[in-house]
Amino acid sequence: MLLVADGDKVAFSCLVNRHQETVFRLIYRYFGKEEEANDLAQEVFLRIWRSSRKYTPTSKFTTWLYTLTANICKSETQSPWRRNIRLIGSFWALADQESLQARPHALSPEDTAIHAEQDRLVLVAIESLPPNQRLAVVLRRYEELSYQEIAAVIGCSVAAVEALLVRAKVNLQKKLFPQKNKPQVFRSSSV
Amino acid sequence: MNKSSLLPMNCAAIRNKLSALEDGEVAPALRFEIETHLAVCSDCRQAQSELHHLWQVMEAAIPPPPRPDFSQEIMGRLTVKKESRLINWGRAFGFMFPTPTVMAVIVVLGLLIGGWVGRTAMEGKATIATAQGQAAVLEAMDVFTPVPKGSLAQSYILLVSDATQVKR
Repeated sequence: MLLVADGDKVAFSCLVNRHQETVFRLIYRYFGKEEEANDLAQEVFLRIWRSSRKYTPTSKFTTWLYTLTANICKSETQSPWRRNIRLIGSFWALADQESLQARPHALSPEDTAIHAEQDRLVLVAIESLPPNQRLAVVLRRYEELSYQEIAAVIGCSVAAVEALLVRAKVNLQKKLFPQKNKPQVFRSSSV
Repeated sequence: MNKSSLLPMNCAAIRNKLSALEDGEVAPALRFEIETHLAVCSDCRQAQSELHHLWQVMEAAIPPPPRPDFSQEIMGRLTVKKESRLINWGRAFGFMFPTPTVMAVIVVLGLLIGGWVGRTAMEGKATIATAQGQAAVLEAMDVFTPVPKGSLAQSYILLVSDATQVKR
């Protein structure tokens, strides 16, 4: 990162290659839309490049990267443009449906359809959460960050992260299992 | 009515900690306390099982990989941004401070054009300036005499001279 701060493009390219999947994964799980995740992930890296001179290595680079990504996700959620698009309707629904179905595993068409539906329901459930709960869930469940790291990224206390996750899990249970005894879609993957 | 308010305090508190327990974020002493409670409380065990199941279900959201040309696109955007900035700054700088050669050329051209335009205009006027024009100019020079024609002083003198002639 110090080389990037000196304007070294090769170092920046290495940094992009190393962290692109992490950033993309986080944004994709936050918004559930592939095209949007690609665009916003690029925006994250462009912002890193622009603000690299101001970077001071006070904490782990990944924490700074997650914080930057989280801020972009939150500001994008609050942008009027996005809200309007959501009101008009999802332009990406078809493309995202295709991307969800395009899995490298060799599954039968029926299994592929079930997995795609499971993925879609999980992403929709995550997207229905308030921004901070959404971030906490994604960072904990998929990025496996500790509560302390999540607190640093979101900018709150560890106790607040714990409370966020408790509420998020309750909300997710309500979304994914509206009737507790009949988890229809997820029956095949249940324990 | 809220279901949790009907539960014994212990169960409600334990359930609030189940999430942290699942995430491995509970201190050893508290963990022991929770596990002791879970061993005897089937409702809390059920809640823990549901939470565990939820976390397993969440695994479903497997993201696709980023676009294959993801990093190239970023590097391309970096170059484009930088070039466009340079061009803009160059243009702005060029407008504000042209080079000395350009300034000299502008001044010389200005002088040449100004001279030509002025000369053309004067040539046109000079042809009009005839003898009649010269007479008009000489008449206009009358303003420098002590009593110019049409002035208040001349009217006063005429009035006084007329009055004296009448008296005589």
